[in-house]
Amino acid sequence: MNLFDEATLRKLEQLQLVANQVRVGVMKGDRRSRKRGTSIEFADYRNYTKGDDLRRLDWNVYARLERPFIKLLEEEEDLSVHIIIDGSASMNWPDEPENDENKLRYALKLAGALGHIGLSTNDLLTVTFLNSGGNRRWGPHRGARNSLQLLQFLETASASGPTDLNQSLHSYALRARRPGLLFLLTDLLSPNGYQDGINALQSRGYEVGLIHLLSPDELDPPLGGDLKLVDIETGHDAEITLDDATLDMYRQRLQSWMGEIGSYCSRRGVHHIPVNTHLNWEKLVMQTLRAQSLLR
Amino acid sequence: MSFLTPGFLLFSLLAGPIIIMYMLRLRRQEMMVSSTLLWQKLLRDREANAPWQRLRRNLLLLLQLLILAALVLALARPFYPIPSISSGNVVVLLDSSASMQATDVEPNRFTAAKAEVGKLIDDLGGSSQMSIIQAGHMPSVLVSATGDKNTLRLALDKAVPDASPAEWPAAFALAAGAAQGFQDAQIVLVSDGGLPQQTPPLPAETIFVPVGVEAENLAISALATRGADSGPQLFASVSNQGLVEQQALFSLTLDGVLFDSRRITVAAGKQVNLSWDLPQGTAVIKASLSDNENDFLPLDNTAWAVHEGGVSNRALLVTPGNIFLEQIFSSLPGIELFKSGSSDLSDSQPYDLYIYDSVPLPDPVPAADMLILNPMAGFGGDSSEDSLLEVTGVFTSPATVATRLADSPLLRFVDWRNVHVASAKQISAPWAQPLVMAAGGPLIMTGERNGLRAAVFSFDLHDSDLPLQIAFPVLMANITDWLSPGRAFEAPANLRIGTPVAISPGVGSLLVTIRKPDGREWLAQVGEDDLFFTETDQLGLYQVVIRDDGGDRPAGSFAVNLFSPDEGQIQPADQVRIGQSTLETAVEGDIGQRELWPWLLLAAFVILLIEWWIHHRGTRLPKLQR
Repeated sequence: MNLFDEATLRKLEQLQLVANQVRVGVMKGDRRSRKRGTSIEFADYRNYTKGDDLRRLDWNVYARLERPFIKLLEEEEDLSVHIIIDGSASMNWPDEPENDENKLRYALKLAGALGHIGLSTNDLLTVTFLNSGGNRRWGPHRGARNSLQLLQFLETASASGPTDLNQSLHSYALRARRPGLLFLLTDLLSPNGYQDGINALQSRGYEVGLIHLLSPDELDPPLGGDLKLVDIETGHDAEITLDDATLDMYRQRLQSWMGEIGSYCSRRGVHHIPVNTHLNWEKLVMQTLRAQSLLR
Repeated sequence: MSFLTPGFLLFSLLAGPIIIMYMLRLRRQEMMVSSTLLWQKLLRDREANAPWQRLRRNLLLLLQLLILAALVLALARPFYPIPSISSGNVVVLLDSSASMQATDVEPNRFTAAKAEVGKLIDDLGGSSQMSIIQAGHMPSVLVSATGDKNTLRLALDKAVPDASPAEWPAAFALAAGAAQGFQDAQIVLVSDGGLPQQTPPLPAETIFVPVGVEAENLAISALATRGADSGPQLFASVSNQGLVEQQALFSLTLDGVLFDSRRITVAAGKQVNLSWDLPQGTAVIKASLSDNENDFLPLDNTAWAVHEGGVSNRALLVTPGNIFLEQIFSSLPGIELFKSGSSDLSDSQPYDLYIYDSVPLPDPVPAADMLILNPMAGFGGDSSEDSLLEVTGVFTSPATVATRLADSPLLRFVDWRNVHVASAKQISAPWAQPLVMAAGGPLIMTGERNGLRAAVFSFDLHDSDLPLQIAFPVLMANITDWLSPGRAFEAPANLRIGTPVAISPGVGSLLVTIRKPDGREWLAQVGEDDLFFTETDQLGLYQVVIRDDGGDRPAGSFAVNLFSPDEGQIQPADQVRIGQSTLETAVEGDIGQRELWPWLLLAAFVILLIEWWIHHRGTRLPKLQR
């Protein structure tokens, strides 16, 4: 699976991930910290108080003003970026892996893009692929040199089986060593729900961006007649006679479901980005995510 | 209930394919979807409708099976037994005589009788056949031995009543013949009675279905004229064949003008005779009864009579004495001869033909057709400008000089070769063409003058051997026919429906036209053969017009009347006697068959509509929930 071309990568390198609730970085990173630190970037002065490190006294100012001022320097820190891709079978839809509207392919591209942005800005990136056969994890890594590795990791991913989002996110939250900005790329079509998992992530200090992927034929099923719908993920079937009225009802259900998700997310301060995979992913990255202040 | 064609019930096996196809149709197409999560929600919402959905599915199948059942049953033609007067193969004798037009049942007895036959057709068993014989003046088989009810009904619709007595022996013969073609046939006689006393026996069981309730009828039973010295006389009889005394207005119309109208009273079972002296020249007499509510047969309330065929044919022979002419004109048919010795007879009554023999012509000459023999010099006409003819001299011709000239129809069958004339007069008459010439001049001339025809013999019959020849009566008949066409037919005074009338158009006639009472015309070219007019199928007046070289000439008229005491007696009979047995009114006892297939077909159609409706309404159910 070839996810990106070179031009796209160059474009992505211009971007930087933004976490509004910045996590304390343990490593020097490329982003300004709200903390004052030890970098060479000047930030401010403050009065000397007893016990301050005399090495940071601005002697030039003291010489001129005869008053001691401590020179405050910018602290530059890194961001821990987590990308979790839902690898359940339902993500592999439409059932054509090369189709650009395929949710998994879309999610991988998005993960690649976000990961590349993160790596380029020296963020600590962890990418996890949730799968019933065992979660696959890449990272944490930092540095742009790891981009190729990341892409190779993503290109080998394939969706299968059911995923219990709640449980997976729960255990992810428990294992977290360094919470940070977390992108969850999923269709949320998980029988057991997603809210507990996201709650657990938030309680561990993650800032969650929920990128909710739905394909066009899920939003507006091109179906009709007497059908036996078979769940590609669980194998469950549903017998239904589809006519215009039933499809109208489906769209209503879908809208109210999306509404539920939206209101949950806004209540919990989760970035909710509903995505129709028909939308060009570059457009999503360059415009939608920037509009959501997740990128700049 | 039984089935006429139970074999078709095998078609019910089609239910199997329907159910199988239904099951196949319901095998849902499997579709993979990314997740049924959202669909499950939808299904939960629709759970409330699930019983109806399931029912609807089953209901459609049920309705389709019902449609199949109805169609298969219709094909199998089920029937249930109903009370009927006849069963099996039926020969219907439908009385269409005049009395069946009585209006005592609405609209008339004949229609009621047709309705009875219609019921028999409805009740006709599936394997049975029916023949319908109409018993009129000329009995005919309307439809022969068929079980097709549509054909039977069509044939029955075509039946029309006659205005004459029925020819029962012939009708019985037809019925017997038809019944012999059937196994265990029944003959159903639908009639108001009125059968003759003696009828031949019928070879099958016979059922009598009476129609009619009332007996009251006042009829003109006779209308006839007679010539008398004072003029024509008319006799009329009005008979009351009902059970109560009747009153009516009797009106007499002569040539379209009301002549007399009087109220008459006729006791039950009695007859009133009336007579009138009619004016000279009366031709067409119409008598009618009106203003009588208690009279149920309108046919015999009008009668027609034509005096002397409607053609005046009085001839005046003025001669000092000519035994030949007297004899020949006395024997010519249709000529009423009057004799006179003097031409100056101031007779007030005009004649249609004047024959002047060896006498001076009167002045002025009468305005009528004339036959002039041996005209005398010195008559009054020769002084005037428009004198008829002028005698310019006498010639004696050799015995055999007579030459037949024109190939005229007047000389048809006249052998002139052996005729000898001793002497004749030379006559000048510019309007006339010579018919026979001698060396000295014309012997016979004919022509038209002022629209009137005249023939002139320039010789005295006594000076010739013509009267002794076979040619003489032929010639005189031809000339008389030409001069005064007279009646062209032989019609008895009491002409009935169906009686043929012999037409004998005069010489020179080309075309005979008979205008029937309903205005339609019967045309016949005059040829060598005698003509017979057989379409006397209506009551009323028939007018005869004959066309010859001179154009159309009315040639009289004749009337066809009912005048039937049997038909006038309209009291319906409770029983009729056929052969040696007496038939009572039939009661509904036997078993008829009433078929159900039309209802089944209708039911199938209705169920189809319901199924269609449910099918469409069912799929719209979710919309109703909005």
